[in-house]
Parts: sequence; structure tokens; C-alpha cells
Amino acid sequence: MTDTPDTAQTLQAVKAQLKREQRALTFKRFTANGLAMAGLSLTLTICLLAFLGPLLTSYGPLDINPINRLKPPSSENWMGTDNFGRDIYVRVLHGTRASLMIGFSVALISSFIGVVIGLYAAYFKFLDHVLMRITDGLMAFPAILLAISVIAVFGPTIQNVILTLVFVYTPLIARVVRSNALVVKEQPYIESLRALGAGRVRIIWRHIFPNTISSLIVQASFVFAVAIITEAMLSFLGVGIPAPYPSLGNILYDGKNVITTAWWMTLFPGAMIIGLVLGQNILGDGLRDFLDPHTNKAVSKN
Amino acid sequence: MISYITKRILSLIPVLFVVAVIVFALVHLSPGDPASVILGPDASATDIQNLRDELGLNRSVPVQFIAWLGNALTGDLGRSIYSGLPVTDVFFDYLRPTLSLAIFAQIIGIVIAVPMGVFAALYRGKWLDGALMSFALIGISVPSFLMGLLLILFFSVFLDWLPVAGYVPLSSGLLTHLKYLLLPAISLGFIQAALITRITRAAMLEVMNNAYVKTARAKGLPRTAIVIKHTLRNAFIPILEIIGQTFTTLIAGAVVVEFVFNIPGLGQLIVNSVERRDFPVIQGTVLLVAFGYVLINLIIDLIYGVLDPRVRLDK
Repeated sequence: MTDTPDTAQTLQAVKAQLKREQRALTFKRFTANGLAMAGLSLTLTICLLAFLGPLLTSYGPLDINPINRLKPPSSENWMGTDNFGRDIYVRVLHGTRASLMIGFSVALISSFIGVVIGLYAAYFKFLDHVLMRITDGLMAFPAILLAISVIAVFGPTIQNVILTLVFVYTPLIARVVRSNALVVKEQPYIESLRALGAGRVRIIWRHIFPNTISSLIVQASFVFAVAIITEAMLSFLGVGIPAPYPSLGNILYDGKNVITTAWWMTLFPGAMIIGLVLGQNILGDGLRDFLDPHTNKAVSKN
Repeated sequence: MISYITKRILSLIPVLFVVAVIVFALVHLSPGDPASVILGPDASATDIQNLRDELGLNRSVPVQFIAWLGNALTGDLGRSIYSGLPVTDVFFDYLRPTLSLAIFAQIIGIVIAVPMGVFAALYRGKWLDGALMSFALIGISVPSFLMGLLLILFFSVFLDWLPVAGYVPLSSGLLTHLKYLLLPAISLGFIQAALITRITRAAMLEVMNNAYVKTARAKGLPRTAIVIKHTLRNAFIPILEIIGQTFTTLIAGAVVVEFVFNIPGLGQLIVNSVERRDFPVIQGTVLLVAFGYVLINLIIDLIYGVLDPRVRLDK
């Protein structure tokens, strides 16, 4: 090295400075993105409400009070009570917690598996044929039907609901990662890495993977939203989270039987689902504009 | 054209094979013996043995798969354990209401969405665009079954205009049929409309930037002629594509919406079959719906081939 230790040090300092500025700039650009901020704050508000809201009342989600059945919202029960006299407010918030937990686990696990499948499918041609035919096959099933039949066979528990949704939504992630990786793989710098003798693992994980992250994040946020919807549907049909544990779907199911008299059992859990999904969809749209300014704003390929 | 058609049809074989393997594996991967699962915990050992023989469970798995696949290819998907009727008969009985609902919803979706998408694109960046696109964003965030519940709450409970639930077959008159189907179809069509609006707007914007649209404008053609004959027509391919891709979401939505409105369609069939542990019916229904998806996408691919000759040469 011709650099004296002194200049090397300043070089380091300048590099660190540039990195800091870059990071600050990215952060500024993100906060300036109205959509992403709106979606994020809606989602965070709901998270806070779900985890802190139940502390504001003395009711538990499973506390039965037969005298107080099907009471409309009051200062005592803020969202009314259900057919067992349980407090809807606490049940809705606990249900939201379950939805968030399921949405998050499904998005996370299917991202992990989807990334591995997508990257290796893009890199190895023979694997591509096999894996993509399998995802084609999986995508031919309506998610809810496949989920119902998997749960019918394995039984309705929270773990099975999560595993089923991972099974159903991993192809969505794998496809996006693969199509991105296919483009990156043909870039000249990958070719030069290969010429320099870089190993496959290094090329795939250090050089191709980072270039697929932005579309992965966008897709994962949509998987989060659809997983919440599908879980609500499953619980609504009676094959999701088993009673008496609250989920937004099974509160709606109980509410359906008394819809002509107890509107509060449909309106409040319904509003919560819309809030959750809307927050994720806005965040997803915002993230897409933020991470990939080239794509058209309005196109969503679920 | 003929080579394009054969190529498309041949490419379906591996997909259908994977579909068949998954459906077959569903029941055979289940923890415990399918026969004792079907008969429940109180069944005697001889009953279980007899059912195992009847279902052919004593043979090796690949042999069972080939036998099952062979039967499935000839249209024999076994018999319902609950009613004893052939699964295909049961399926087609319950398919009609679902299909009615799905088609009605799709029509509502397209009729609302295409004009909305076109106007949003024409007034890009103006308040109308903003309003229409926010509406579409809310639309994709309301799951169809929830929309159904909210519509019942509003139109049937508060206003008392439409029936709360139920189904009247087409044979008792088109008008009553549609009256009962109206709310379910709107609940399902709403989310569809939102999706198609977003796609239509994007497709229109892309086509509007083409040189031939500029030429048409420079020639002094009237605006409506440019929009309808030159832009929308060319924007139709992505719109068709999304209609094919969302077929599964539409059927999935229909399954749950039917449950909301007590419509005796595939949704009710599958929920009842789960309760009765009627595995052949579950298996058959899932298989046939997946087959329907593959078929519809084939038809749409062939329509593209006709509409856009470039597609034929590409693949």
C-alpha cells in the first residue's frame, strides 16, 4: 500500500461519513413518502392498541357473563357483549393480536423459504423447471380451498393455520425473488465474479440476494395482508383458530348468527380487519414507490 | 397458431400432474390412518379393515396413486362417504350457484372497473384520479365476506330492502334469482372491481404513451374515438390477464361469501364435507376447482394468441 496510515484513516472517516449521510438521506426520503408513512402509522397504531388496549379494562377475553348477553356498546362494555356475555372490545383486541402474530409469522417464514427456492431456481436451470412447475401447481388452487383441506386433515390449531398459510403463500414470494434473480444473474458483474473464481454460494447470497431484497419486502408486506385475510376467512368458516380463543374471523362468525339484532358484533371486528389490511396495502404501495421508483405506481400483482 | 395451441396444451401436463400429486398427498400424508380418521374413534377394527380394503389402502402408495389417477382421468373421483353419490355428481350439483355468483360478480366488477380505470388514467394526477384510486385501495382492503356482512347490515337490517340471505335457483325466474344474488355478487364484485380498476389505469397509462396515440391525436381524431378504439383496445390484454389470474381469488371469495348468504354452492359443500370428514368430496372438489383454473387460463392464453399475434411468436 502506498497510503500512509494517515491518509488511510481519513479515507475511512470519509467513507463512514458518506455512509451516514446516505443513511440519513434514505431515512428522509422514506419519511417524505406519504403513502409509506401513512400505512406504517396505521399499522403501528393498531399494534399499540392490540397490545396495550386490553389493559384499559378489567375484562378477560374468555370471561363469560350470561346475565349480560348481547348488550349494545355502553360505558361498561365499549363495544358491547356477545352471545356469552363476553366483552367484545377485549375480544377484538386479542383477535387482532392473533391476526398480527399470524400475519407476521407467515410473512417471515414464507420469505425465508421463498428466498431459498427463488434464488436456487434462478441459478440452476434444472431446479428451475422442477420448482416452477411445483409453484405453478400450488398456485392453481384457491388459497382458501387448499387451506381448508389441509386443516381438515391435520386439525385446526394455530400452528397448523400458520403452516398451511406458509405452504400456500411461499410460491408468491419464490416467484418474485426468482424473476428478479434471473435478471441480476445475467448482469456482467456476475459474469466477472465467476471469472474471478467466486463460489456459487458467494455469488448467490452476497451478490444476487441483496438485489432482490426490495421487491421481497414489498411482496412480504402483501403476503402479510393476504395471510390476515385468509386467516379471518378460515376462522369465519370454523376451520381456523378454534373457539373459545378469540380471532377476528370467529367473532364475525358468532356475529353472523345474530346479525339482525347485534350489529356491534359485526361492525367492530370488521372495522379492525379493514384497518389492518388497509394499513398493509398502503404501506406496500408506499414501499414499492420508495424502493423501486421505476415501476408504475398503481400496478399491484398480488 | 396450431403449434402455439399444442405448445400451450402440452405445457399444462406437468402443472396438472403436480396438482394431482398435491391433492392425493393431502389425504395420504395425514397423521394416522385415513380409514380410522373417516370412521371416527369408536369404529371397530373389522370396520376399519373393511374400509381399508374398499379404499384400496392396503396397496403400496405409488400403486394407489396410479389407480387413483387412472380413475380421475376417466372422470371417476370416487364416492362421497356421506351420501354415497359419485363425487363428480355432487360437485356439479353444487357448482351451479357458485358459477352464477362468480359470473355475476365478474360482470359487476368489469362494468364498474373499466370506466373507473379509464377515467383515472385520463385525469391522471387530478382529484378525480386520486378519488378513484383511493376508492380502489379501500376496495382491495375489504375482504369479500366482510363486505357481504356489512352489506347485509346496511341493506337488509337497517334499510330492509333486500333479503338477508338465501338462494333461489334460476328456474324460478331470472328476476328473483338475481334479487337474491345481488348482495353476494356486489360483495364479491367490489374487490374484483378494485383490482381491475388498478390494472386498467396502469395499462391505459402505458398505452397512452405510445406514438400511435399521439399520431391519432395529431390527426385530430375525436377524444372518445382515441380512447375507445386506440387506447382501451390495446390496454385490454393486461385486463384479460388479471381476470384469468383472479379466477382463483374469485372462487375462493365465492366460497366464503356463499357461507355468509347461505347459498348452497361449493363453499357449503366443502364446509359440510369438512365437518363430516368426507375426504373424497374434499379431494375431488379441490382437484376440480384447480382444474377449472388451469382450463380458464388456457382459454385466456388462447384468446391473447388471437388478439395479439406477438404472443404466439414469443413463447
